[in-house]
Amino acid sequence: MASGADRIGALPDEVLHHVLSFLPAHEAVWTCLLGRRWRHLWRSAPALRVTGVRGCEDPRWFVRFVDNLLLCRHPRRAPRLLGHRPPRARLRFQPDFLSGLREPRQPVAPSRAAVPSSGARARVLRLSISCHLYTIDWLDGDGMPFRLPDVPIISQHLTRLHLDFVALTSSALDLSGCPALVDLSLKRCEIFGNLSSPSLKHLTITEETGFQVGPFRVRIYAPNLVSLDLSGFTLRTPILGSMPLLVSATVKLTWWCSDICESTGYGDRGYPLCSCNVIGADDGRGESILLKGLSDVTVLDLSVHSEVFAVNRDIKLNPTFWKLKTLLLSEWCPGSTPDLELLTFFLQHSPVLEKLTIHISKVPKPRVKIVRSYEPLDHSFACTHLKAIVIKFENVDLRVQRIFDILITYDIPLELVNFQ
Amino acid sequence: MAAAEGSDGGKMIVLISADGQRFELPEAAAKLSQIVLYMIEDGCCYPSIPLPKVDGVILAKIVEYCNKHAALSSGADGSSDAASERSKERELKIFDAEFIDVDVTTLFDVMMAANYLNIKGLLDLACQRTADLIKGKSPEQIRQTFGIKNDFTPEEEAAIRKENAWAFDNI
Repeated sequence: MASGADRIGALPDEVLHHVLSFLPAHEAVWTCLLGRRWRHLWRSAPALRVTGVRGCEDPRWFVRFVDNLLLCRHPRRAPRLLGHRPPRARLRFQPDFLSGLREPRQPVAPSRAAVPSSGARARVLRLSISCHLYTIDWLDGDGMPFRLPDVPIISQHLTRLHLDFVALTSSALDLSGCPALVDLSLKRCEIFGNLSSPSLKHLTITEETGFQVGPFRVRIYAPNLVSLDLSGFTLRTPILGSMPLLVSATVKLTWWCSDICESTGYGDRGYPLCSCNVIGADDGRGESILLKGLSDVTVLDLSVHSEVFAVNRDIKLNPTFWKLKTLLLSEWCPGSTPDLELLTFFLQHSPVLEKLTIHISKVPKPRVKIVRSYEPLDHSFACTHLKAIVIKFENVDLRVQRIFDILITYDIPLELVNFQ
Repeated sequence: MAAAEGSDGGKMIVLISADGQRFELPEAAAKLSQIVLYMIEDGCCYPSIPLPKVDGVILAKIVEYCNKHAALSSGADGSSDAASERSKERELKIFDAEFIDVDVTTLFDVMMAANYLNIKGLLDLACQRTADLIKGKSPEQIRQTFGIKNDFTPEEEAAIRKENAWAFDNI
């Protein structure tokens, strides 16, 4: 038995690492509780043994465990998993899940990841070593997105992260541990926290990715973002932080957005039964949700459902789009007050706008219950750089006439207008 | 241990422990240590190799291990059929198990020396033994076994448990 002195703690790290490599990985992790000397030892151990890990009969638990094991490790230490023999009878990975894994661009030398099972190996490669592309497509058919563990993703090399049908909570959304990450794509995901990445240049959020419905809006901090595609989100509109380098953005606020106000279109609780009372529209009041974050953009494609109040409220904060040269207002409708205000806003706050395209929606948009009156503002029209206006529509109807009237109201030279 | 000359006429290497004890062993046994091997290759092993980090008691054990492993793996008795290989393996296994069944203080000294001398088989054996002593025990039991002082505050310990909850949540 022990002599009292902490002899084992006096052993060099390399020897203790060697000891840890003989333990099942879960017990190696548990040694972090022994004392300060042990707290971070397992994270930098060059090898961990994932055979005989408790709970490995449950594939989900096991996959998460191995993910965590790799995610929590010291970022500079390429792991080597020892003796991983997935007990085939007990541990079955979904073939769909495996086929969704893509090979990293830069394959790792097999000797560094001595994992015989192809499935486990692909996962290890993706997650941890020098994978430049990390893709999860979790298709196990149970209808629930795969919940990533609430731990930061740490990789010195990861440049592209594509997540499909994955639920992410706060720590997993903090991507500051991936300093090389430039491309993030979220498809059919559920977002439960603020998304932040100092290095991100391209962000794509599509296919019904839902932002949490809760007391706080999701915030997106991506100060180096160059392109943003926010064309497929549901639930609450996220608050965009400053993006001074933004060049192009596509933002679509559809009926699936929860920030709907059927009464006034401002989410100001003008009507007791309006859904904006239910979801807590007050959050973000007084601060810009979308437009301020977008205000440095050069090319903008914006589509707003007439009952979504997020943009209507932003307009009142008067952000100026100093760099906006090309604007596409998709699904725009001359019969809807919010859309008219939107057009007026951009005509007045885009001093260098060169090309304006208005894509008239196929069907008239519904009106809010308390109809706001639209009053054209007196000039102060600043759009002196306009070179072309394109108006796209399917059928010539009264609405086209209406839009023409608006342009005339703003003294826009009609020779610039091109109908399509 | 000391002998004037190897019984089989092979070269003998002399190791000197920290406390000045002298151990003589066949070159083949000494070469199980990478460090000693390099010194032999570099020709700086004569008249003796001083090992100032290993004391006599431990070096005696190390020499015992090396002698046994070198003797059984060299095929000195000339037979090399499968049956005798298996029996040698068994013998080595039994030897290893008895050899490493020591108190933790000796175990750590052996581990330290095996690391310093870079004797892979012995280091593996000692680390495996240490891992076996850890396996299946609670943190408190492990601390007791090895005399580790818990220097975490209760708050820190709670925080660490939370931080690594993913590894504990199946317990």
